[in-house]
Amino acid sequence: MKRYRQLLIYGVIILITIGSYIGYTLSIKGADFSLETVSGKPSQIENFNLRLQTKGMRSTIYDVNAKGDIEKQSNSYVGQLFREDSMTDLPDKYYEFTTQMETNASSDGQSEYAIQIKHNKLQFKMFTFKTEEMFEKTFQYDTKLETGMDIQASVVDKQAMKIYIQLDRVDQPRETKLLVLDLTGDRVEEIVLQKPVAPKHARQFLAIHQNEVVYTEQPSDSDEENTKLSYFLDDGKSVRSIKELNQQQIGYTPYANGRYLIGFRLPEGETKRIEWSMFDLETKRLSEHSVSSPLVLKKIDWLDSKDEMQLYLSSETSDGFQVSVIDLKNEQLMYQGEIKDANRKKGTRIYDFAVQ
Amino acid sequence: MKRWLLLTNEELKRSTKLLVLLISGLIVAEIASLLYQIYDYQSTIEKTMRIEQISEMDAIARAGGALTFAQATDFYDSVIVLAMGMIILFAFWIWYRDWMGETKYIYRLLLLPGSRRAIFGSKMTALLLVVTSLIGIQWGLLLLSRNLYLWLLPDAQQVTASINEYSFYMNLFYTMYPSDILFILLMSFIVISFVFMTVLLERSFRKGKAFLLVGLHGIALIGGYIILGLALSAISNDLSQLHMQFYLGYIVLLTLYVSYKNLRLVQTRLSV
Repeated sequence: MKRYRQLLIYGVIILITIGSYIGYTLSIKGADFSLETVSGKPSQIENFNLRLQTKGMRSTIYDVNAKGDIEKQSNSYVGQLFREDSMTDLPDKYYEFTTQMETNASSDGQSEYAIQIKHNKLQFKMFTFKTEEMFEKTFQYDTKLETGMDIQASVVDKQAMKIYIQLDRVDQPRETKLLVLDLTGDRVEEIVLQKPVAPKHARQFLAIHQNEVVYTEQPSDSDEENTKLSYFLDDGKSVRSIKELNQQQIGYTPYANGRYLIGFRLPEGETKRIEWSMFDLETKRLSEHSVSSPLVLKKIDWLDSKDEMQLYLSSETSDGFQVSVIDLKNEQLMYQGEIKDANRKKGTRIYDFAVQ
Repeated sequence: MKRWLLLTNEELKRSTKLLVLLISGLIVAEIASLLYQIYDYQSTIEKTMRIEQISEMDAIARAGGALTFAQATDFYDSVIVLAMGMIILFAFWIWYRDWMGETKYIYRLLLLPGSRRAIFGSKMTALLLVVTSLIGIQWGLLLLSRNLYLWLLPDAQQVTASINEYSFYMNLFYTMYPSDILFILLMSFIVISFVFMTVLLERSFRKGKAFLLVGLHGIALIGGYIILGLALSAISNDLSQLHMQFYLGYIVLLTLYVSYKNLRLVQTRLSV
């Protein structure tokens, strides 16, 4: 034994210290999630993926889907090296184009769009996640621009084979334009609006329905979040302010090919109800809707909708998290599921939420 | 096996003084820095309270909040970087010291009966044991520092956060996945193998040739990274992960080759 004294000393030091470290890591409890259906049937909805991240020691990411499968991602070195990401890879050709400095990229959750404008040409590429297909086309577009750097172009809406693009000049903020790409043709059309952008205001296009365009304007120098937006409706002949929408302090998103503008909110003092205001561009009327939720809803900021009139939302509840699917047309809760952690770890939060 | 264990024991015994010095230096530096940070913070708070005639709460707010554990152990990062540097120097020294001094210890080593592989193995094992025990001791120090921090600072001046809310290097070493220790040891093995190769080439060949060979391995290491990156970018755009997988695989293969080469050098080339 005496001949191995040094080895033994090192062995004991390692055993005690590393042993204490291993013991310490073993005492860290992970989360133990399970999904319970509260209302409706999971088979009637599209699959979703709710990504949760636990806080504190050994923060871990968990993926929960509609079937109740729970997948845990290891953050260890080897785990990170061989982690599989469920995200769809963009095709190389698309990726290369979209990462160029002169390209403007935008996305609506279902597709990604990339636009580059220079030398009298408009290059358009689109990648759709569900079909994993890429579409590309170059359009003739008269512009004196030599580089695509001074321009911002983002897709406002896609309806059948028409793509609506908001085009901004960085150096001329009042020159906001609305372009239409007809994917079956090769021309770029501009929708001429009846009212120029008000001085020191920025315009944002919201929805296009048949020949009508809805946009907002707000002071361009304001940093405040609560700046009031003014809503306008341009039907090609005249423009009018949409008073019904101006009064509300919520953001609106277009649904059903731009026919409806819907804004969601949680009513004050009530935690088991979600309300939404719906502006119908056909009848020009604003209507109020609501649906009650069996579970208490807290802090909703995870929304997604693949289907035209369905809303997928995820939020915290008193005991964990929930995913709800709301049929906006019939004002009905289609599904609600609750994700609970049997180990009740504190500080877990939603990392991502997407309909697949 | 017995020869290897005995030689490892011998290597450790011959390095005891140096290692005790290194480890105690590390401990003293870290604890002293922790005590200084705590003392400095407390005296700043007291001074602010006295001069400006304000409450403790206000003084803490003025100091930018209570002292976090990460702030108190701010200096630990530098100590860890220093320790990593020391390990690399130690990897050189563990060979060169055998040629130095009056006794020429290397004579005795090389003239020992049996395979010379044990000589190489014992030096590598000794280094890995030192690395592991340093990781362990640093963990012990972290627990001790944590308790000192909680004990010395008044409640209002400390932040109740988890222990892994520490610095960059601490997070690298203590990921809370015990298997990662093995990964860190694999990395240490790779680095030490390359250091050993440098020493053994320098001892086996004339200066010019040794320099050239070391340079070639350096180029293989960096060139592999670039070539793999370029080759893979033709296949996929999801580069970072795939690139790291391939590069790690490449490095492991290169290290296997270097280890084989090292053993060959010790067995056939190395002379007194």
